[in-house]
Amino acid sequence: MWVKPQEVLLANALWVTEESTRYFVLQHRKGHGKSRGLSSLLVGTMDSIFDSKPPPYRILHQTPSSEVYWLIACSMTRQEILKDWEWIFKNVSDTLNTFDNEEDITEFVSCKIESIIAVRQDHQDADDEDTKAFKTTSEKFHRLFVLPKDEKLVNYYSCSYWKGRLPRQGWLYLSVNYLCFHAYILGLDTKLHLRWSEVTELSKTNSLLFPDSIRVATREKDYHFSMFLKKNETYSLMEQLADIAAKRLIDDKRCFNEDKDLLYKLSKNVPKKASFLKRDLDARAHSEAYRLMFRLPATEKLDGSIDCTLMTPFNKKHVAGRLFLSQNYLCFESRVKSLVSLVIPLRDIKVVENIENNATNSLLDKAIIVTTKNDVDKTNFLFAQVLDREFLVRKISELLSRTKTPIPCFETLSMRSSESSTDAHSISSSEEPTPWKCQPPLMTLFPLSPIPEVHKKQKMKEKQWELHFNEFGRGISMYRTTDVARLVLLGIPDNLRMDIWMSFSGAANERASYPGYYRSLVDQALMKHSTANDEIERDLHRSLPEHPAFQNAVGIDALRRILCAYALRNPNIGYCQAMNIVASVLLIYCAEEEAFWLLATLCENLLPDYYNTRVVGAVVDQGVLDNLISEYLSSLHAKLEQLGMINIISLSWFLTIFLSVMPYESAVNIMDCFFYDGAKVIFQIALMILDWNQEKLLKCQDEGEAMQLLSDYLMGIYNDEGRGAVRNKDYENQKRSISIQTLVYEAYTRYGFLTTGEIERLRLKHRLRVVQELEDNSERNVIRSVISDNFFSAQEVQDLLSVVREELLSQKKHMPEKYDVTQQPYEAYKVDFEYFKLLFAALSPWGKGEQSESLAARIFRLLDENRDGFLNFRELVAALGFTCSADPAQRLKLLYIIHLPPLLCMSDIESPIRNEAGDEIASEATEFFDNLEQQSIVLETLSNVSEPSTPTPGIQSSDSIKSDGLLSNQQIGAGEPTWEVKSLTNLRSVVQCTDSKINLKSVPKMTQPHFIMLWKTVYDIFQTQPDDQETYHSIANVGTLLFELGDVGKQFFVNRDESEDSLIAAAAAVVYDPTKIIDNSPDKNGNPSMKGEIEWYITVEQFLASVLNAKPLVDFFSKRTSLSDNIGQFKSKRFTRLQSFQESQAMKV
Amino acid sequence: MATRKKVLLKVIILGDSGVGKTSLMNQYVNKKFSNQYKATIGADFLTKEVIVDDRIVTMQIWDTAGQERFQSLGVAFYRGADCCVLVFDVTAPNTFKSLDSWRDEFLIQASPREPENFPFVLLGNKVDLEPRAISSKRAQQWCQSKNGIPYFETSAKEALNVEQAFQSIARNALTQQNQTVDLYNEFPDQIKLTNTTNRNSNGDSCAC
Repeated sequence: MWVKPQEVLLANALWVTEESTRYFVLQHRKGHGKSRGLSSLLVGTMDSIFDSKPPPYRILHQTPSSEVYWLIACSMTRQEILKDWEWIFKNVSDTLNTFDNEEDITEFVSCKIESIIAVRQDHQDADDEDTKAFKTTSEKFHRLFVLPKDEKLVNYYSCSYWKGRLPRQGWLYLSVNYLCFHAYILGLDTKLHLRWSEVTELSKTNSLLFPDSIRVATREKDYHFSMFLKKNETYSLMEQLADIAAKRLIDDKRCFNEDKDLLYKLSKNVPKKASFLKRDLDARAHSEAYRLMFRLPATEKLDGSIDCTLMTPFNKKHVAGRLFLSQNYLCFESRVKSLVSLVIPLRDIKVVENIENNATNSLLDKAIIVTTKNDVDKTNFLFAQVLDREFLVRKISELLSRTKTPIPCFETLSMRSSESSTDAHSISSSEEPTPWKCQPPLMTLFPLSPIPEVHKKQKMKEKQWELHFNEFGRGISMYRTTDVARLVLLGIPDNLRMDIWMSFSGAANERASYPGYYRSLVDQALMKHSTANDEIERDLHRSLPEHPAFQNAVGIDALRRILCAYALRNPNIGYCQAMNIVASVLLIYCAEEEAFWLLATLCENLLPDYYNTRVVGAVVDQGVLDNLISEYLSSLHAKLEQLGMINIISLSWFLTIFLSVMPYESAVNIMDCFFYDGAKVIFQIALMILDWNQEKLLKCQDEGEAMQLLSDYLMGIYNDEGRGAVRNKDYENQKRSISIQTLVYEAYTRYGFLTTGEIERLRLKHRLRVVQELEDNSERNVIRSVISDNFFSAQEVQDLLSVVREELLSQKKHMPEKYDVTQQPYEAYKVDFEYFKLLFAALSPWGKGEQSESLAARIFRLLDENRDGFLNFRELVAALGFTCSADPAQRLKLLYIIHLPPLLCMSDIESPIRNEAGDEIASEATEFFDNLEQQSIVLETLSNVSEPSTPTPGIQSSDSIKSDGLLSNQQIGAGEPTWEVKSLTNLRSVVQCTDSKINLKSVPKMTQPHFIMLWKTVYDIFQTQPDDQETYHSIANVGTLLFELGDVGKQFFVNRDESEDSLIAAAAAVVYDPTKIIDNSPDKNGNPSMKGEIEWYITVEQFLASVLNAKPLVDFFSKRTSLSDNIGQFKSKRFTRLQSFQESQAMKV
Repeated sequence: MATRKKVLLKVIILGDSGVGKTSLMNQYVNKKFSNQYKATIGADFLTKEVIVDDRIVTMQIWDTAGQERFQSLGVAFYRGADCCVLVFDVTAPNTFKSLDSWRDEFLIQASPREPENFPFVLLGNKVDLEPRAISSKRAQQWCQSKNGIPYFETSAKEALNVEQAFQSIARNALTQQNQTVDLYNEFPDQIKLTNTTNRNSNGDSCAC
């Protein structure tokens, strides 16, 4: 066994060397082995390892040039020491050759050995108590990486991280949101800290450079980890965590919550693992696989599984397999793949009985009989050789006792609908829904003219199925064998489609669980006004126009109902084009409510995330298809890539399951397989189609030609067994490419080896990539949307964005709603005042002094245009830009303006603001926002309604969006805005306006108290500048000058006022009247009467002119502050400050 | 592209869902109107031989899905386009409002060398319907603000102005193709939407 490395000086004194390599020696004690006497003395306690009498076998480590030997392992038996010896060869030796320095080798070895010992000890601990050792590690993890308290560690593993060409031995910590690594020794402390949501790719690699390692890629960098003790476990946990993060990026609501049920689960023999979370995640993975295998509802959690046999009456055999049990289902799968499987809903189970052991037939040992009864028939299922029968029966009865008969009522409904949509409640109950009834399958209402031979074929098939049902049972709980698969491949007869689709897809389970749900959902949905409903309305006649059912109100109404109901049920999807086509085909073959549940199952289980607002699932599957093509049709892949086609062709294939690209009567046969086998069918068919056209595609000149080729081929796929909705006169003349039956059959023959598991694995890989691309995209849009403001370079904006993003992610609560297409991209990233304050202090040159917070508050208030208490990203960039990079005149203008009322009121001046009071300002501001909230809503709606007329030329400066907003604010300003709103709007426009000189005339004059405050601020800002006589001198000079100017102004007051009127007329741009402010401001702000004070004033022109004449001041105000440098410092400061604090804490412990 | 012997013009039709993109394309190519089209999923396309200034050219017209959620899907076929046709419904103000975003998105995805000179054509469709929500003047103004995009008021149903509009589209596309020898940035990386190409294209379009 491994021991803590210790120095051994006399390596050869009492020992005989058995084997040696460059760095390791295997020895046994002299006299040992042959002489029994000695060894018998030593046999016994483990304690002897650390005793003076060493065990007889040991491994030493040394380096050629070193005198010192290190004892790294010793053992009582030869067998054990050989195992360790082999381990070294397998895992360590190769790595050591990569080191240049011998000391590093020694350090690495000792580190490696120590970590193994640590694992061993942890495991011992973990076995007896779930958490003790784990808790300690978890605390250590939090200390090391300075993470929020609620960040949960899932597990930790010993491994090496390759930093450059050197592996660092240490610990890999996997938590819900982070992947962290910490290395012990080897010179420096190595720390690594990645967020799962940044990970773009995970892979197992085995290259010369990084042998047998796990690669974690982010946008910036690749990381390699190797020498895992449990590589596979580590990898699959990493995959799982990354996937959770990716899914959460797709859909915020799908947050990760621990499953507390697991704690109370009646279970035995569940091995205790390092953490509860780890167990939780394992259980999740198992449940997911289980649900996929048996097509169960998404809420189903696997409880346990047990080996047993199933009696299969159709061939009178006992099939060995495994029985699975979850809250609502009992399932069985044979050990031989796809031999037989079974799904029994617990709601159907009437009795579960033990059978007495029968001495004559050992096959029936420990057997149970499950009797079910549903609307189809009564059946017995016999399971035998159940290893732990008592436990199983107890378990089933426990679950049965919890199974409730679904209540056909509104209770379930209101619960579910309130989950899915909050505004469902807004519907008043007084409104009577228009009466409607669920339609039967539309093909029965709109029968197509019969074609005799087709009719005969259909009848024949129905007969075949009847025979099958008799033998294997029907409904959900039929024995599913390859026989049924064979029948499905031939195409299900029209009359049976509904039932068979319902059972195989699992939709029947959902339907049975929520009786009455659909009806009331429809009632609510039809009365709602929503974008989804509008979009649906537009597409109703564009779904399956060729079928007579949809040339008629009956079909259209039914289609409207199921689509609107679904949009209400699942607001994450709402309505996505393509659903209309799928739904209309479902309605042809299925009764309305069944069609709804099939649609729901399809959207939620079979094609996850396909139809959401970014069509993420379909994009992911495009990636999967690309992968599969390159694997199985590599030459074609190169061609398609050259044409750039894969993504063009496959989107409609996926989204409509071929319904929109083939005659629907052909595509419906693919639906048959799809409901039976899941999404993998789409890939099989897609590959087959390409395979078949490979030759021709390779000859295509451009993508147009290739598209035409494929679309002709697809439209020519015919189904002679269809009833012929599309059969018109030229059906026979139509170009026929292949029969759907052949296509399906060939697809299964050639690509039947694709498994759901493999598809899922590929999906996971591509999901990471796609989600990151979407992130990149939205980030790119944000940057693009603010870059035109010209404050910072793209790099700087990006750095700033990444800081803000990190902050948002760690707060969790304000996850950006980035996929809301109706809003501007920069709206998704916003900061509150608390964070702005920090950013301002860290990044802005004005943020260094004592007044930083108060300045930040005023700038915040000035720029928060919609007064929601947040600066969106664009406003944030402006706030920082005006102080960091704008031209000096603009910066000074801002400085001047934030010292005017209402940003700086008399009351503030009288009790000068200290740092502590900054919060007060913020809270005042919030109050102020609250008061205005009502009004601003009105403003917004109004401005949305009113079509923006041509903007007034003056304001139409750099960008139109802002001026639009401004304008509408001002238009409504004629209504009833408070003085603050108006004047803030005006001041904002002045600040934002880059050139116009005229504009300055509308800036209010500044009174003496305000000017004093302004000048204090100037001193404050300069305080942090290097002490420079000249600078202070000029500050004083300019100050004095402005004071004098203010006094001089007195004399010209009257004249000036008059002349200003004409100037205002000239400044048509800004609808603003300074006299009004002067009238209003005293009462609003408690300013002393303006009449007396007005005698001293300065104007913004005077201010600008004076300051811009003093070179040191100009230098300061025109210096461009590099945002990126400051951000770098800001990040590292935050990290190290917290960290050093934590570490000093750690030292004490 | 430039070395192609046969003159092939690639035209992309963009616009909100239900403005009549498919109908316009079919009216132009097949000279018929039907209210039996399915909503376009992904992309569809038709070709037509036309004579422009005594030259025979093949027009490859790409029809696209209009729903918002499809807008920013990695639309690989934008690349290499010679002209982009923006369509709105004169009776539906929202379809007019989103023109900007369609145009922007196209310029990003296609990343032509000179985004400000790339030929667009605006079609206000469904002029046969009442009431009108977007006046001809307003549409004209929008076109003016975008470097003088040609504007046509069409009705796919009544075949009004469709022919003329597409003639102008063809001419603009052809002029563009003749003027710029290599309209696009390096071709080989067209399909991959990896980070690097994203960043690149970002850089380009931001330069304006």
